[in-house]
Amino acid sequence: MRYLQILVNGLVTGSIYGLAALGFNLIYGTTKIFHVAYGSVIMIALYFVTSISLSGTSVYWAVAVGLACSLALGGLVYVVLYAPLEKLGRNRTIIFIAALGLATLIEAVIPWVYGPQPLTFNLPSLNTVVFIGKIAISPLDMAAIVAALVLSLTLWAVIKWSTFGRQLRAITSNVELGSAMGIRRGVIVGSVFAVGTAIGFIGLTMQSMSSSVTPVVDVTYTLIAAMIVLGGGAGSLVGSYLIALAWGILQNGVTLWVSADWANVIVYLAFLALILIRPLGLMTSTSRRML
Amino acid sequence: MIYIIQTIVIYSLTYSIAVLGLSFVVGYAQIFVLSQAAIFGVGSFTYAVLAGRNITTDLLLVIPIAMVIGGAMSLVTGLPLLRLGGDYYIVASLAFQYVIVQGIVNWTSLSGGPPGLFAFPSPTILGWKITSNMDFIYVLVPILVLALGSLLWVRRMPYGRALVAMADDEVALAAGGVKADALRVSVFVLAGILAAVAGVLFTSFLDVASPGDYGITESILMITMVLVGGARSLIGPFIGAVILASLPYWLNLVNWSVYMTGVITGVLLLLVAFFLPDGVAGLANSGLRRLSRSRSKENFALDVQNGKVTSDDRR
Repeated sequence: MRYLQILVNGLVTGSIYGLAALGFNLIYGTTKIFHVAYGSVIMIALYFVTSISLSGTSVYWAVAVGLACSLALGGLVYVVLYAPLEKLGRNRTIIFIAALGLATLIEAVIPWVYGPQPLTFNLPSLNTVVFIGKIAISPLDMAAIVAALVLSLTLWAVIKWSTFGRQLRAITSNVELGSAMGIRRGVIVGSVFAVGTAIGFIGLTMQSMSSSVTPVVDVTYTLIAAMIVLGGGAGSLVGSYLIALAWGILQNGVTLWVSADWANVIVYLAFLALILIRPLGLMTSTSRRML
Repeated sequence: MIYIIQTIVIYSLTYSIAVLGLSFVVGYAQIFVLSQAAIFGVGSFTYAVLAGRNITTDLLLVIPIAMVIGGAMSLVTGLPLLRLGGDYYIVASLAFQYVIVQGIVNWTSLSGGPPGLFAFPSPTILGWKITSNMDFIYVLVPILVLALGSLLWVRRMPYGRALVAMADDEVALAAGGVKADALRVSVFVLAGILAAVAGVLFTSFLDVASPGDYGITESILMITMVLVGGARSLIGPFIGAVILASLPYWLNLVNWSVYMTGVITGVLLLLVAFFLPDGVAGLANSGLRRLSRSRSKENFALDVQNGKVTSDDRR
């Protein structure tokens, strides 16, 4: 029974990481921009949500506002930061440096504005554990598992079948040819940034609702998302989903059997081992396409 | 006042030593590393443990030990470079950064856990006690000169020429029979050794070794020093360290928020990306070049022919 409980807890953690990776993967897989400010941008929206939720607004409204906010911020980052740099002809390292600068800036400004102490959503009803058989699980946990699964499948279907998805795959595999066919790269990539950030926002919000919001959480969130995406194979939705679940299960297992202090160390070492064995990640197709 | 200036000088010198090697890694080996602060921390804890347990406080003994430990750690974290590059190595180095620092924290019996270690006997050199700020500067300056000199010498050696060549054209280098991979790892280890030395000096001066000082933020700060100064010049990281190393110290003096360091670092990185891809030293260089002669198109073409213009200039 204990094993089953760890498995379920691991699935919950893994699903949240899966959402983190899903948004990052969409951005990284399409643009190859290493968006290291990913978590930081999401955190702006998250702090906004927390503050209006704490001022007494219904949490569902707050999340809806935050979702819109993260969509807008995601698109804005591309328009204000990455698009001008690409226009200047800066190479990938320089673009990474800019992203690092943005992340550092946001990380300093947020605790300055909101204070360094953790903020907690007060959501007892969502965090009350119910028992299914002998497995303890809260409504929020169930929502995380469902959200990760549904969003992954939806994104997969959108990329595979919709016009938007076809255009996205076109500019991913060949920018020049895509533009020659009349696809406007800026619009596609801008919306990719917006949607990716919003998906990441959903993950981080769920994680924060069950624990708390602290100013440093974004660094770990970005790092974990990046590790999962590279470990699963850049652009592979299936690969990163599998790695995310394995990640969550391993982390919960180590926390229980060894100690919480070593949980991340061991998982990170496992990532390093994986990436050394398979330098391009778990699932890599020879043609580097999305999906 | 004089005390403040001395402290700022000490910070700048210490961090210059820490990032000198890093400039080679970023500039020539073209690897973006975000684990430098962890190796700095390893050096720092080497002094903390050796001095705190009254084993030895002689820098002539502690520094070589830190060099060996720091070098070994860098070798371990650098070996993946044989298989990984680009974004993959950036993420791997972040993972190493976390693993090393968390490993130090978790080894409580050695490192004192999250608060770290503090209050050690003052460092000595062959019985001479280093206590005042001026003493520290007397120790730091020769070490920095030695490090700078040996890096200059390395750059003139065949090894160093291979390094410069690697930054320009790796394929040509391979055709010349030099293994770029081995070169890359060795530069990386060199940078780690210097960081470990700086860590020893940092802790022997500040009298504290706290894991919080060696996190990802500090690694970003160190890489910012290199980038702001200019990665491909030896004077560059020095400029960067002078600008950034003492920042938290003097912000504290003028009573500004501690978060100002992060804001300034972030803004500097953005400025570098938009306006100064070669750092301050790069700006000075191109200014000098413009003064010394007019850069007509013919001149430029000639430069390309003679190989004076690197791929970076053309970009």
